[in-house]
Amino acid sequence: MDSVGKPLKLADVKIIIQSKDDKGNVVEKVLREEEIMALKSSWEESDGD
Amino acid sequence: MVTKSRKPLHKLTANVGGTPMYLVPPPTPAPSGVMDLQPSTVSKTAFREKIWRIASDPERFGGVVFEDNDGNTVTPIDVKIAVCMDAMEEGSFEEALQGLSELIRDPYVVASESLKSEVAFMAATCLNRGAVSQIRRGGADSLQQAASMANQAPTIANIPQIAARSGNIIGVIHSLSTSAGTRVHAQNTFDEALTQDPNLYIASNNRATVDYQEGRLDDAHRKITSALGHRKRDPILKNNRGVIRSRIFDEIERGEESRVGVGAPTADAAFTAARKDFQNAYKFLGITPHAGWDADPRLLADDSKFTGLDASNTELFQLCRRNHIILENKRRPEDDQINVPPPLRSHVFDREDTAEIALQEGVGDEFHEDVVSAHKTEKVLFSVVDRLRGVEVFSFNPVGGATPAQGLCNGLRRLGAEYSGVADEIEDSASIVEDKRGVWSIRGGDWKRRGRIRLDEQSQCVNITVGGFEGSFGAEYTEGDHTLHFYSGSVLHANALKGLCNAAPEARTLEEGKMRNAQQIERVKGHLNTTLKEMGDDPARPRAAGSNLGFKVMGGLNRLEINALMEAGLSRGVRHGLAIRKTLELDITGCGEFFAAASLALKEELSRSTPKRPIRSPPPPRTPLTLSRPPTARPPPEPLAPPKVKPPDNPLDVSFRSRLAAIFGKGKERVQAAKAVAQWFDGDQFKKVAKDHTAVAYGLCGRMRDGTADPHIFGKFNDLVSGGEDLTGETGLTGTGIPELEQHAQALGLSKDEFKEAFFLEFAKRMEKRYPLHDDLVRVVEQGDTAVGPPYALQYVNNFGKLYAVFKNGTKVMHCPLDEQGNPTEWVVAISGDYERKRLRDYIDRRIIGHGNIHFKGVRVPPEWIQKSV
Repeated sequence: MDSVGKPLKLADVKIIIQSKDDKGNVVEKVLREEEIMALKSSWEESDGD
Repeated sequence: MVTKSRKPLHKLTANVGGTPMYLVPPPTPAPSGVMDLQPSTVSKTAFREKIWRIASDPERFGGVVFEDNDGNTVTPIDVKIAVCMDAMEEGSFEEALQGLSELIRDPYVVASESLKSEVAFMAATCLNRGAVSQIRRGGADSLQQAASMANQAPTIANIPQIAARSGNIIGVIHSLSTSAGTRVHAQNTFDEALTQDPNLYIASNNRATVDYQEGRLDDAHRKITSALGHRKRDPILKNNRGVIRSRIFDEIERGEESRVGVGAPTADAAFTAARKDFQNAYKFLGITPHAGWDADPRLLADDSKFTGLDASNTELFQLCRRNHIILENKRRPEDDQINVPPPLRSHVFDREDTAEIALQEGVGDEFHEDVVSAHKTEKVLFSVVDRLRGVEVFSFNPVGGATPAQGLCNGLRRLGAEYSGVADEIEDSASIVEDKRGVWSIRGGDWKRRGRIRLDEQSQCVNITVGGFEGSFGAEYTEGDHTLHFYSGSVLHANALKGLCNAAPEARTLEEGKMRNAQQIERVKGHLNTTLKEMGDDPARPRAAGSNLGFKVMGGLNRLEINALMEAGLSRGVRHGLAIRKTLELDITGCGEFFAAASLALKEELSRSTPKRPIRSPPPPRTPLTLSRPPTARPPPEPLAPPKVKPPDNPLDVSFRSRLAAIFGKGKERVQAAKAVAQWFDGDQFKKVAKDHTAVAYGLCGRMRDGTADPHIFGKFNDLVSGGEDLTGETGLTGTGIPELEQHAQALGLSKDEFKEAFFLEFAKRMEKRYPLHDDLVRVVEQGDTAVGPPYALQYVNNFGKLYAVFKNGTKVMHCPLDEQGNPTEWVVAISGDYERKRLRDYIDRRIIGHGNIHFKGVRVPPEWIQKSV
């Protein structure tokens, strides 16, 4: 439970993506700014195909 | 926009060297007086757009999740709000407004009063800040647009703080005109703004400016001093008051005291005060005046680099210095080469960050905090509702078998992936400590709650204790199609608060808000009082009653204190009501976490082991519990079957012994005493039990090992064996053992058997007549419709001539004071120990046998639950 009262700043928001490693374990990764910009939606990916 | 932080100013001020400093290199100057509505932050804008798109559909972007720096999950709505806030802070007001206008139509936002409030507040703030930036752009079109934006703001978020800021901006636009008529408009607008928000110092300052322009120096001085009361260190305000005082000094010097107003100071006093203001202004700008400071060429040089200030503050410094030099030169007429009216500065023009400061430091921020807090709390409540869907939570009193906190969280994870987030949140967002007794302490943020969760496998129930309030009551809370079973206290709590929450933000005006609050508080009070009354709220024990309503989690406030708090807070307006709501809802949040964890743990536990008995079918659908709903009346209890009282024919038969055992109850010592007495009566066993004569004596003389002698039963025995004659002193019968009893028998000329029979018959006769015993004395109150009724089993026994009630397993008694006729007046149950929960479920018939009122830890059961014994 975070303390209440202060609005969340965009700079404090982390975007995390989950993936699986070779052993099938779920791995979480915090995306950097350039990775966020490079992130594509499934629609965009299908368009690319 | 050049954002000015106060911190560098403080650092500079703290450097008391007295010389101009270069501690902070001046930032790149912003275009003078012009703020670009579309700053060249393409990458930032693109980044925000990207974040917005991801937050709009995280699944489509590979199922990303958002977290804050503390690892708390952040909802997409919160991310979007953060995006808007970011744009607004950067000065991209149109971008922010575009996002906010989209947000305000979002179904999730529409469904949430607090979210709506938050977004509307942001949009209105954004409009006001955009209006300020338009004013800075200058030009008729910009002013028109500024007026339009400022006028829109209160219609989006009709709260006093927003309206006051909008009014201030409109007033400034009016005051730009040089016509006296428009200045009157400006003056009235500032006054209205101050009516909405008396703490709005910028409006006070601007009103002072108008007064100054109109020559009302005393009014101007009062207003500017009032503004400084809210921001003591503001250099703009200091400069402005210095100017006003300079003018006062000027008028006095010219012999025009009458223009200054009533109570004009001396010229020296006015001069000193004005000089002090200017010096303070320098000081707060980070420049410490020193001897000969005004002759310092660096200060006189018109070069901002000497001051180390940014562009805006350099401008302010130069203005302040100019005004100060005018003052000093008037003091020295021989140097009176500067004689122009000193200008005042209208606050809204000079500091672009006015709105930001207001957000950070002003009242608006407090309101915003309330809104954000309510929003977060509401989200937690909703999420708890989500988690508990379809799960029935029973609250019981402490039983054995503590479930480790960690086990609960693990259990949540085993229930499925959808619950792992809950477990994570419980584990991560708060520090959970579990002591040896299985007591949880959960701490997090600015709240602290203690709780205990125990699982009773046998009864398939969960016991929850929160904030010192032991879960004794069950109730329900319906959200959509789902019914939750909560503590009554929490439900009342939640409903009362939901009512309070809903009242204020929906109000269109302050007066309407007050009216709604007044209506709401009456409903809340009525509901609370009704419930308290039903629970037998005893004025002598308000704290206990409050505790059992769940209010103890509020820090032990009693009912009167709570009512007073609510009433006092709400009578003072929306903000105070919100502040109270924040306080209260945090408690609910804490409870909600426990409920979530406990209920899911229960589910997990049940799925792990096949219950020996089928779980009871869920109760029939009930009417949702709302504020306005009167507590559901319990069905009248079934008339109790006449007790099957049957005096024993043979006191030595098995039923006698079992009955005797029932009389003594089931505590270890009591059982021992009952056995001993039974055996003592049973002639064959007499010698065998003689060795345990202490137990017999204790039993017969109504004395337990804990030293609680019962003079009543002792007296009865005395009467019995003595024929009404007090033999205590004569025989030395002190209840210490069988030898004395035998002596009594012998003294009475009775054989042992005769004594035994006489004793029993007399005993049984008196006791049965007074306190009939029968086999189906166990009555259970189930958690009930009116949110009252813990599943307690009661069996009352005429133990030693004084009415006691024991739980089915006889662990604890309840003390029962008797009236003059020897009838019990009330039963007070001491709750602890184990229950035979499965048996309780079998015996649920919603009846309690008793006399008068029954207290469960200070809560009186409604009289209709109680059937007088025959």
